[in-house]
Amino acid sequence: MKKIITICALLAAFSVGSASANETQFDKLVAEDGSKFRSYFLNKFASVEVTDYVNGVYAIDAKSREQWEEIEDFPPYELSIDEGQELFEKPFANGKSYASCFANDGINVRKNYPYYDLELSKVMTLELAINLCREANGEKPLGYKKGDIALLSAYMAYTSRDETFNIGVPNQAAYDAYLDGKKFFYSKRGQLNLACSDCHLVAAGQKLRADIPSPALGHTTGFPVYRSKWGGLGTLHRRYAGCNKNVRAQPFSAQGEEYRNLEFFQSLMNQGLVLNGPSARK
Amino acid sequence: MKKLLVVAMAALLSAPVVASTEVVALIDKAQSTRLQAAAAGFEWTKTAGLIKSAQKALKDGDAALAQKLASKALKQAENSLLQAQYSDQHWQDHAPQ
Repeated sequence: MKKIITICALLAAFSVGSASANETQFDKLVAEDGSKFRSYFLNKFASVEVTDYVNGVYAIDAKSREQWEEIEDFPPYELSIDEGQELFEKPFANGKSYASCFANDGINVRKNYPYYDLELSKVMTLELAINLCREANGEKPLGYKKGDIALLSAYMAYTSRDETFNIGVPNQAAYDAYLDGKKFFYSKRGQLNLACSDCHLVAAGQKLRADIPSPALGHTTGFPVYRSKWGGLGTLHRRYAGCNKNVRAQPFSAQGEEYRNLEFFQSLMNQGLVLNGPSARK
Repeated sequence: MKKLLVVAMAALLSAPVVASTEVVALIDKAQSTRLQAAAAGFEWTKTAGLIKSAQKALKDGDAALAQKLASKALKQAENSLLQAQYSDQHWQDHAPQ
């Protein structure tokens, strides 16, 4: 019963979005895709609450969840949030700060990313926006996979916790970027001939050697993540590159068009779920 | 001893002789096919390394090894290109209907 209520609440949230004056024909197409995407997982894991998908594999594997809940007692990313805040508030050489580049002084804006930038005609991610802000203020751009960019992203994500994505598909170009990301997600690649969807849709919850692939629904909500395997914080695009390498496919550049469009697609599939970054993963 | 020499010579003569020009052409073909796959976004991680190893083996005078590695690289590059073509035509088949 609780599950039915939750699903109804989510559908209501989507239908509220559908009724908005700004909704485009492309938003409707994406919403149809999103509905099929969610239904796939809700049917596959009938006992899992839809809201729990933001927790990755811990939503579907009880043993992993036990360990993760113990880790969350003292979250390994906690200090990173403070470090990110320090970096965020530290003025640039010109006296300005990151706050000057973002709406609402950069607080609670994670939910607005990634979006399709109509002026630049490309998908704008939070990490790309952080580096554009640095460059606009005479600072060198940061590396995109770990380090300061992940700390800044972690702090900004933290200020958007429990919010839902507020992104859309405003025009044909944005829809093309979405389709490009969708095509990437479902395309087999690498010597192992595996698509993202092979592991995180078809084989989600099954054993791949000693690992259990997480469901794709909810994938982007918790980034950046503190990953035990990395021993530190990393960005979504770092994870994408790792996944590609795992299937022996040559990875793309972090924040290149391929991964930005993939992030756009995945984020649009997660509409209605809450943002919970930064988070901890295996 | 004489018999052993004869056997060794016969073995040497029967071994396939690999012309380095053939191997160079094979390496070039593997490289251009790999680049086509890369341009399509479907390059595999091991192919470039195999091509490098083939080039090194040829430089070191081991044409037979170079040919073996280049053939392997070409096969990988051709398969990655086939994968790109397959994915372009069939990616939608994998989406939930």
